[in-house]
Amino acid sequence: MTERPLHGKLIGSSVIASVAARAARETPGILRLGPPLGQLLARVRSAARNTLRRVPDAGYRTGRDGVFAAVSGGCATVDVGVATDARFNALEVAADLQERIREALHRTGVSVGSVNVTILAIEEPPSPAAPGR
Amino acid sequence: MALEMHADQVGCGRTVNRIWQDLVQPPDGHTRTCPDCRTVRANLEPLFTATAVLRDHDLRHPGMRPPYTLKDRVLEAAFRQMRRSPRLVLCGAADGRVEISEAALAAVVHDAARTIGGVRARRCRIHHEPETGSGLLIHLRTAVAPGVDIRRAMDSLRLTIHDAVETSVGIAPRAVHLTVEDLYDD
Repeated sequence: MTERPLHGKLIGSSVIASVAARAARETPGILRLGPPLGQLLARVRSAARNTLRRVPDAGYRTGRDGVFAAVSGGCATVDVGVATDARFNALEVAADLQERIREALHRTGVSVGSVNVTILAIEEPPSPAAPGR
Repeated sequence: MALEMHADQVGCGRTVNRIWQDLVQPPDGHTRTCPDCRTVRANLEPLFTATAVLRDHDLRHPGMRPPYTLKDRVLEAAFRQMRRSPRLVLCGAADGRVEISEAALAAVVHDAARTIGGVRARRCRIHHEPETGSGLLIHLRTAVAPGVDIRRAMDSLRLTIHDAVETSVGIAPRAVHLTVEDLYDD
């Protein structure tokens, strides 16, 4: 069961993940949510072999783009994986991201437990020569 | 193979993801003239064709269609696998921690090493245990070209790696150990 009442509201963990993902996309220095395509594809085979048939962890759901959210004891826990811009200090970007996610969730009335950020890649930003990437 | 390229980017800066999305249409002006994009596009085309054939087959045979939740389950499982990959804790607190994947940090080291002429980076090992105060330790194995002043090249490499990690990650390495294990000759 992933939907628990929080302060009289019913907020699903997938909604929490979506709010967190939106906050992450608006954070300066974040290039992308989730792992690089190559890394993800490399994991699909082993994931299918090892994990696909297992029952997901209780209370855990994936939002999208690698943002995980769970609700436990009335508090939301968010795990987000990001690729950061190499011109930025990844540690500062991550701290900013944690704060923005906390604020965004607080505005929706969700009590926030922990916000964990994993830097999955540090990349150069898209160059003007290759627009629309 | 193109999909194994670092950080999903080819030499010109475009991502494999972008090139894959562009396969539904004829190559644009950039792709026609860019050798990197042309190569990756050519590598991806068999996979694109194969997936198109399978997709069309399944559309014609409704009984063959996978459950509508399959894609989400595969992606979720892949993301879970990603979360089990080696990572280093940069800082931790009760209200959340910040980690970096070992692969991401190693990529920063390799990118920095690529800027030093006559040096090729090989295996990179990283240790970081904030609790013990040991700091960030980087150990990079390298190969150098014949005739390179190894001492000068390694000094330059160490400085470059130190600066790149401090700038991009936000933590200054406590030590950058370098090993020259081979000479390369192209």
